[in-house]
Amino acid sequence: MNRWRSSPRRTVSLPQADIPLLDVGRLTIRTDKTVLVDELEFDVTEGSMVALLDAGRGRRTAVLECIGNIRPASSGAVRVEGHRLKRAFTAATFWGVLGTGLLVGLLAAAAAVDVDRLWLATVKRGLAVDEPFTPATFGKRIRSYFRAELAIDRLAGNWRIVTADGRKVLAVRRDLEEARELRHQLQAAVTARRTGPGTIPDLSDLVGDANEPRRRLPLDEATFAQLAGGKRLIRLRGWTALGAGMTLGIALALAFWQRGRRSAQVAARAGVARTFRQPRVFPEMTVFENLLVAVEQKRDGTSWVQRRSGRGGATPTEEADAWLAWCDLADSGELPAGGVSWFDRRRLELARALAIQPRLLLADDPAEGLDSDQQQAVAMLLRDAQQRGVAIVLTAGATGPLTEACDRTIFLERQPAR
Amino acid sequence: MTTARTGSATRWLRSATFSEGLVFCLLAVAPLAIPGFAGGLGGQVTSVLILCIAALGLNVMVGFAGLLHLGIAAFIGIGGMTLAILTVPTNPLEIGFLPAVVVSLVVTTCVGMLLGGPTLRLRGDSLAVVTLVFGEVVRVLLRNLEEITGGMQGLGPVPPPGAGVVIAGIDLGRSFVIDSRWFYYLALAVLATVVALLHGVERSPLGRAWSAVREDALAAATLGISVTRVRLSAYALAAALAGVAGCLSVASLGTTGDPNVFGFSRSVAILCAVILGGLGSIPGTLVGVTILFGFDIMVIPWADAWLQQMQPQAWTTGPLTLGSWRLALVGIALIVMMRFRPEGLVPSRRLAAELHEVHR
Amino acid sequence: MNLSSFFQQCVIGLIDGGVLGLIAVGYTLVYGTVGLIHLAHGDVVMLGGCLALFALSLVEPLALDPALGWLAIIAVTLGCGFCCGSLNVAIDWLIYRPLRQSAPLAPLVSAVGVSLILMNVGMLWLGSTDQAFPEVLPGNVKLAAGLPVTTADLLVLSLVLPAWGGLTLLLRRTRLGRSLRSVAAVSRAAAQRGGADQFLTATFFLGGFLGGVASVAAGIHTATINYQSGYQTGLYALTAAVLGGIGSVPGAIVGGVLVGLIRSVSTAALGPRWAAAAVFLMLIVILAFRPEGLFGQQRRAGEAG
Repeated sequence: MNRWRSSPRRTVSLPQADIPLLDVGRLTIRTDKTVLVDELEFDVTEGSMVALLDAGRGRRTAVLECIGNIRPASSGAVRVEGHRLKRAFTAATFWGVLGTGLLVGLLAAAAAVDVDRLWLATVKRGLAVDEPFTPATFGKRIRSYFRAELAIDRLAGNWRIVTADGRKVLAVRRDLEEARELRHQLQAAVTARRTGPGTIPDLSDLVGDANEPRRRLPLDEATFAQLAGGKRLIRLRGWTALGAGMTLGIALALAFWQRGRRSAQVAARAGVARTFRQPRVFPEMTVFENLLVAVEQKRDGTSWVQRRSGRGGATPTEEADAWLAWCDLADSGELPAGGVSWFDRRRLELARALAIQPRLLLADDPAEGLDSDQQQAVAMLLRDAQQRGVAIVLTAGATGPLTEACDRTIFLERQPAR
Repeated sequence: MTTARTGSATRWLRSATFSEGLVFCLLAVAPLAIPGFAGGLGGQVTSVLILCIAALGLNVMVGFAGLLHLGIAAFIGIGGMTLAILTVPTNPLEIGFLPAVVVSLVVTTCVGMLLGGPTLRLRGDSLAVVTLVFGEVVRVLLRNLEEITGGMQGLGPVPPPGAGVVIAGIDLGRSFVIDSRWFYYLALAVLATVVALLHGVERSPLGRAWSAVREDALAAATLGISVTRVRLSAYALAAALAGVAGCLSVASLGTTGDPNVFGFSRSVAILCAVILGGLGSIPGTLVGVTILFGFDIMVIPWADAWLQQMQPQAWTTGPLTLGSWRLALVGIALIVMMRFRPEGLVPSRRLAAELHEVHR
Repeated sequence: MNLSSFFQQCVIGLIDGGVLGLIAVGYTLVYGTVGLIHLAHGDVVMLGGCLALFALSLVEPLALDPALGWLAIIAVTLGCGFCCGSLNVAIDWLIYRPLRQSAPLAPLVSAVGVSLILMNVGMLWLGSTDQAFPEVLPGNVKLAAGLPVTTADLLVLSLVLPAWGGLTLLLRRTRLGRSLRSVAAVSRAAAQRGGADQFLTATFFLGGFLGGVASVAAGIHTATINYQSGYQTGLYALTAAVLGGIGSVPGAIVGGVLVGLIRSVSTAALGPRWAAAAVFLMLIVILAFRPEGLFGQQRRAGEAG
């Protein structure tokens, strides 16, 4: 994703002289009540400087926000080098979405098949009957749980024949062999019941609890029906929850991806930087750190370690220092950026935006709040940026030193409120 | 970065790194100098150190990345519970302390990111409420999955680190059990590592990206910073640190205990400790936890024992002990603190600068 | 779960939700005007419950006939509402007001502090165990066979419905109500500008009053109270407020009813110990899709992080 590096890029990309750097086609922006911009069309060629002139603040800012992916357009298209600023659906996206879906689905399935009981049946019960814990026994126990088979566990020296989830005790024996025998018989009966009614063997003469000989097995018709149906139920629940969870997870991940698809970050990565009408510096960071954090976002194929050691050219610190000197703030590098003057913040924001080495700079009212000398200084900086090959689109409410520095002025048409 | 640019000897002596190093050295020799440390006192100090680790994790979320998190205790619970599940002898897994800690870290990190995913779009107060209820969900899960987590009794006994390992005639596991200084040194070492790590991260590009996103997410995005990734990394790191704290706490107590302690009150207490000490400030966090939990764990039992000695009548319960006013005392302390020093006891450099800007 | 028990759970959930909604309005009003999650609100409600417990246990031995008993309950409810409202206003004056211009987390931490103090008061008042709420009127009598409503439910409804009605009238017909609605809808900055103090006092009083009414209703509905019930009920109410879109009064009502319904239905379907998890998971899922809550104002994309 480093196709917008400033100089070597031109050798990489195909010679597409006819495609302008920025192409705004039939851009329409509506709010709830009014039409802000109606079918605006203009293009910006590489390295040029264009002013958008309009009396309405909201209107000119809205155009820049649309170009910079901060606000969605109602209709129309913004293309940078012929491409719309959207994140592509890559293989990584696909696997990410699928993985999220699978994860949510598995969580839902775990809840549906009662993971607590599954743990009891697979891990703890094996321990109770002194079975070694190996992948084979574990797998056997998992299968047995999902088939809702009867199981044996131990409580206070007695062997108990229990349902797979351990919620119901069918019989109690003092001897393990006897218990195994009985479990086998009972399981056969339940399996027989699963294949069809009327085949239940007669077990009514068996003792339920070895310690209380008078209690019989609790095997009436209802219990049998329940035991026989358990197999279907637990699988049905598991699969349903897996499906529903996966659907939810995929929907969530896709919605999330769709929303992040057209973000300001995507525009920045494609080489579109911007400044704001009210300079949005990071107030608690120092002026120097404001620049450093931008320099560190530059993607030029070198790793952080390489750049830090200076192997990929200047280190980030040196580069940030260079930008600090560029915007003439070398003396206030250690001050919190929130504390410097409006003019300084304006210049700092400009340097910060240029530090990511963009190809297009969107400057929202860079003259706002500045006197004419300061406007001249900003115009100088912008012209210098232009000479470095950065195309600039700036907005203004009225003509001034900045708009005069531009190659071209575009007037946004006034739209009557609908 | 900054110290490197304007470094000088005096500045270094006054820097946080130096004072923290001094404190850690003092803490390292303390057990040798204080008699009776091997007994109850050592255990109490250890639990404060462990809470410091969790609080540093929370500080990453709230202080560095600016995401209000009210469910940090849930991650302590998840970390501790994972360790217990993997090591207690009543489960057949028993994979040993270190592998279990690694697995537990992976699990807490994943859960942290799982919480982070759907909540990235939320900000401020909504995020706080969601993290709060997430903590409650985890607490309910830990309590209700009785077969896995042991329910209200918790899981135990968790074997100490190095159980069964004998080095130079010293049985490590036994030493950890009989002498609380072993856990004290373990916790101290981990805490020192975490502090060093966080100082490093704070000055790394990631730390600066956190600051940028915290202060202005939109402006950060226009620089090409992936807000999603930066925030998720904060979630992950916070969860992992809380997981480490959970592992240490469960191992030192030998049991997970009642999962209800991993609920909202513990989370909010840790958050209050972080804010009390100074949001975004590593030494501040350590000071805040020491004061708040030191008061809770050490001072109150001590004061009550003393009161009982002075008045041997039946004043062990009821409104005349300090313990029954514990919550109110903490509450009053928080209110007074927020009224008169909202930036915390040891504010971070930046925050202090900003607040003074506001007051001027 | 068959259809009739589902229906029964729905009725219980609706009543429960009505009570929760009243508490949720307290959260939402304060959030809508000062932008603060008033975490101590649940504990204010709990103290209201303590007060009601005290007052009603004085009335209980008299064994009044139903009409008089009902009047006594109404009187106690109004008294509790007044006390809770005053307590809320006092908290605002003493604690929150000095922090209006302060760092963003300071009021929240102070709210936690207030909550701890109130909880401590409740603990000293009630002890650390559950206390039975006095039964002035025979509560657990079915009105008719097959009908899932008991007299206690009717009693709760007779407290909750007038409170809802009054709130609706207040919001629709009075100047305060209109400004509350517009504040919640437009911006709270407007409230923080000039002449806002009386308005904020009224907001806190209204939230506390409704909480006080809800405390009596909740006491009758659940029949027990302990010092942590403020936190527990408060958490559900906060969930309801956030679910509906915090800052929006209709949202709080709808959120309360939704939380109540899900709580009672999941209690019946999964058992009471999973009810909390079901409610909270629902909140997380809904917020993942709709971060501003069901009725919340959508923020402009430009301000989104």
